[in-house]
Amino acid sequence: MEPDWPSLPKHVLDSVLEKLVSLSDYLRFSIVCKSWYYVTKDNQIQRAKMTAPMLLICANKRHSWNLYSIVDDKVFDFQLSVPNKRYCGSSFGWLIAVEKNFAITLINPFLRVKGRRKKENSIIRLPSMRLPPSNSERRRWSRQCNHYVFKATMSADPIADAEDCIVVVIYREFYQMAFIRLGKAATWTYIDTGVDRLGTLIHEVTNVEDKFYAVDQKFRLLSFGVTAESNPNVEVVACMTRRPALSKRYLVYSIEKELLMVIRYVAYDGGKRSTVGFLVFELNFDKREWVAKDNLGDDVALFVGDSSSVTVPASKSGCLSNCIYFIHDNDGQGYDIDRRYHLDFGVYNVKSKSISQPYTSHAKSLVEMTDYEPVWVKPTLNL
Amino acid sequence: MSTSTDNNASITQESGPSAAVQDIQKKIVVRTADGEVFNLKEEVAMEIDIIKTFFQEDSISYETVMPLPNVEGWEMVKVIEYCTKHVELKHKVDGYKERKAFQALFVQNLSTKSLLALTNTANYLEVKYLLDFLCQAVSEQIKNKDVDYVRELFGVENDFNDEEYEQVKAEAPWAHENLNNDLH
Repeated sequence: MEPDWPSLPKHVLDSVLEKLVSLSDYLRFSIVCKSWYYVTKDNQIQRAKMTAPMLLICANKRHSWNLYSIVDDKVFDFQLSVPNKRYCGSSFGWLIAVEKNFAITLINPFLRVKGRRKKENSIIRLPSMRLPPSNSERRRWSRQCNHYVFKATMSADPIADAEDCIVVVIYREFYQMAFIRLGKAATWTYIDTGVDRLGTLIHEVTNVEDKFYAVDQKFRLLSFGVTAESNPNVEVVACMTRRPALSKRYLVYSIEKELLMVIRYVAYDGGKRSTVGFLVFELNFDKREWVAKDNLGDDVALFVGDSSSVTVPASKSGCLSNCIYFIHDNDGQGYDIDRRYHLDFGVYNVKSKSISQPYTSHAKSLVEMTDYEPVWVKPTLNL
Repeated sequence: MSTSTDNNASITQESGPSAAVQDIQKKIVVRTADGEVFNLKEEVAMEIDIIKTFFQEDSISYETVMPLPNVEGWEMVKVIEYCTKHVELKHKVDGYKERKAFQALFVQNLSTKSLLALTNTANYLEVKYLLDFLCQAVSEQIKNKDVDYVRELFGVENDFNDEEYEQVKAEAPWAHENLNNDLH
């Protein structure tokens, strides 16, 4: 090494690091030398916000899942060791699962690389949810425990931001909500459904600052705050006067600070489901109404599935702008579906209203062969 | 054009028919580490924050020759080239393609070592958009290259000990994929 080789100051290295869109390049930067490692470590929280989710695909061998990066167009060599099952949520890089005893566990697949020592804090166990009221129901749900919760989400990273981490679930046959504050409560708080069955048939819950918002079957937007009180008050924030037809819907607080409701239209051919198109609505907080939008945002990409819906900056993450990356997700039928019907995945361009399937053939065949539904997971950088 | 090595050299003037027009455009003079002196058009000089700040001081007159001890002559040439183009494109409505073509040529024959030196200089001189562009160019050199190649390119040594290295590698499972080693 020449002694007069120019070395870059820290903030310049930081700028260079930011321009490495591919996660592989980013992480390789961290192992070059010690000073580069510390620059990466300091940058990782910022980076996590810009990183697109990857697709976790079960390899059908015991506790073996592959990771496909749609941005880098490749399936990684290593595999992750997590149980083979349907996951009811994926948030901040953690999978959310229901166990046979109705306990909820959080699993970080990135801390569980096969062939390496598993990190102890890769599994967080939460208290059990309350059991179904009768023995027969208990037996039935125990067999289908993976579907006891339809969808789950978290408000913050359970390790980096444990203080602010609240887990919210949509559970059981009426799709009601319950939540728990991580590390602060021994039991779940169940949100009572009141008049007009408010608080049932919830499609998705998302967190915006200190409140939670939920969208229900009737396209109403509900909100509630999580306090020490035992029963939070659920309010209706907005309605739709002209409701779209039966459809799936997602709720996301985008990186452009807009609350979006995204509606997904699907068609069935025998048992096979395919997505036909999407509609995007933005909440006008002042007028308390949903306003149709013809784009997601200037530089936004959206990821939807059974995971918590997330948006990322398109250019910085390597995604296509104004596109929705969708995969097959639960229809709420309450049981595992046959693998042949996992195939409703692709990328929807909001502007051109067209659907493409840019997966590599390797990834495509993995999705076609898998016994369990693939999940979007946001990579956690654990430096 | 004559140059002067005095600290308080007066601004030189060209003779000829265009001199009258040129007189209106103020010039700023700087001297680099290797003693080279550069005359910059004021509008270009003001793109370089460290120069702008220097001449904004009340006590400093435009006739002062500003010393730049951390900058080499060849680096100053490149910086002036980039800033001049930037100023030119500011007034153009659709300069995107032209900018891209210019940028490609700008870094074309720069060795990595020179690119790094120029990046440091852009940082020192405080030219934000040039620094941003050069960081991008540096990142292009890192993309898809394996660790050893990057170390060689940047002249850095692996200063982890074996145990530390295994530990940091374990934190980054992505980092050890098979790669094409583009050795130019």
